[in-house]
Amino acid sequence: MSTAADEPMDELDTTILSGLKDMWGTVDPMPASLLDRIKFAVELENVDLEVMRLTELTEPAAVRGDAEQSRLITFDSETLTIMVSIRPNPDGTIRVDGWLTPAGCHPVELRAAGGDQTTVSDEDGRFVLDTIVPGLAQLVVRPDGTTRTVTTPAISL
Amino acid sequence: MPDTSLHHARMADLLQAAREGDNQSLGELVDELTPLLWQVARAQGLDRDTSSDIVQTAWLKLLGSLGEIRTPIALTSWLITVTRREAWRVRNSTRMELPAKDVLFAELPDVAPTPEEERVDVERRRMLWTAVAQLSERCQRLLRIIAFTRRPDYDVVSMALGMPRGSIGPTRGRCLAKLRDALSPDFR
Repeated sequence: MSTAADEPMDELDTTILSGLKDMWGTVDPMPASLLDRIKFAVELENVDLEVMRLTELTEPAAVRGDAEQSRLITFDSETLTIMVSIRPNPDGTIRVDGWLTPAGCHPVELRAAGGDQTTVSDEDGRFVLDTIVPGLAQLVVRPDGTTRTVTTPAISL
Repeated sequence: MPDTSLHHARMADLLQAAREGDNQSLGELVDELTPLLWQVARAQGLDRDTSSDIVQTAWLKLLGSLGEIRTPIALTSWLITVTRREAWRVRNSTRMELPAKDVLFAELPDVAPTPEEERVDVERRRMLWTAVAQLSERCQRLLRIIAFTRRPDYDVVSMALGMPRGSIGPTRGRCLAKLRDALSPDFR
C-alpha cells in the first residue's frame, strides 16, 4: 500500500480540499438516479458478459428521461447492435420496439423494476415488448448457441 | 492513520463478499466509489448524460473481471482506468466536441436566501469557486480528483489523470499554493 504525502499538508490545505469536495459535490452533483441505476444494472449474474454502449439518442439531452415522447436509442457492442424505439401507451405503460443485428432469433429479456419480460426476436431480428411499467430497465440478449450475455446499461423508461 | 486502515479493511471485506456474489456488498462499493468515478468522467470534459453512461458501463464491465481483482486499490484503479478509456472513446468518436473548461466550470447556480448557517456554506463555495476558476486546467483537474480521493493515494490519482506518480505530490503542492493565493484571506 502506498503511503500518503511526499509533501506535507497543513490544516488549511485539508480544509480547502474538503471545501472543494463540498463545492463540486454541490455544483456538479452526480445525477440523483445514478447510484440506483448502477445498482440495478449490476444485479446481473453472469461472468461472460458483453456490455453494450449507448451510442445514439435521437432527442435533445435536456428532455432525456421524459417519457412523453417517443425515443430512439441505439446500443452497440463488439458483436451486436440493438435499435429500440420507446413510446408511451395510452394507459401509461410503455412499448419497446426493437431491432437487433446481426438478425436472428435470440432470447431477449427486459429486466424492469415492475417485472421482467421475455420474448424472442424474429428472423429479421425484430422484437416487441409491450405494457412495460415505467422505471429502470435493462435489455439483456442471450445470443442463441452461445453462453454469452449481452446487456445494455440500465436506462430510465 | 487508523482511520485509513479501518476504511481499507472495510473495503477489502466488501470486495471479498462482492466477489462471492453478495449484491449488497457490491452495492456498498458502488456507493463508495461512484462519486470519484463521476469526477473522473466530468474532469475528462464529458457532459452529464455521457458521464452517467460511461460510469455505469465501467461498473457493468467490472462484473466480468471481479474474479481477478483482489485488493481495494486494484478495484479503484481498474474502475478509473475503464472510466477513462470509455471517456476517451466517446470523446474521440464524433459524438461530441466540448470545450473542457466550460464543462469543468458550468454555471454556478443562483442560490435562494437561506438560513444563516447555510449562507456561510454558500459563501465558502463561492470563494472556492472563484479561486479555482483562476487556476490552470491542469490544477483544476488535479484538485478535483484529489478532493474525491479518500486519502492522497497517488497511484489512484496518477491513474485518474494520466500523470506520472512522482509529479503528483509536487503538483498538488503548487496547485494548493496558487489556490491559497487566489483565496480571500477570510477563508478559514
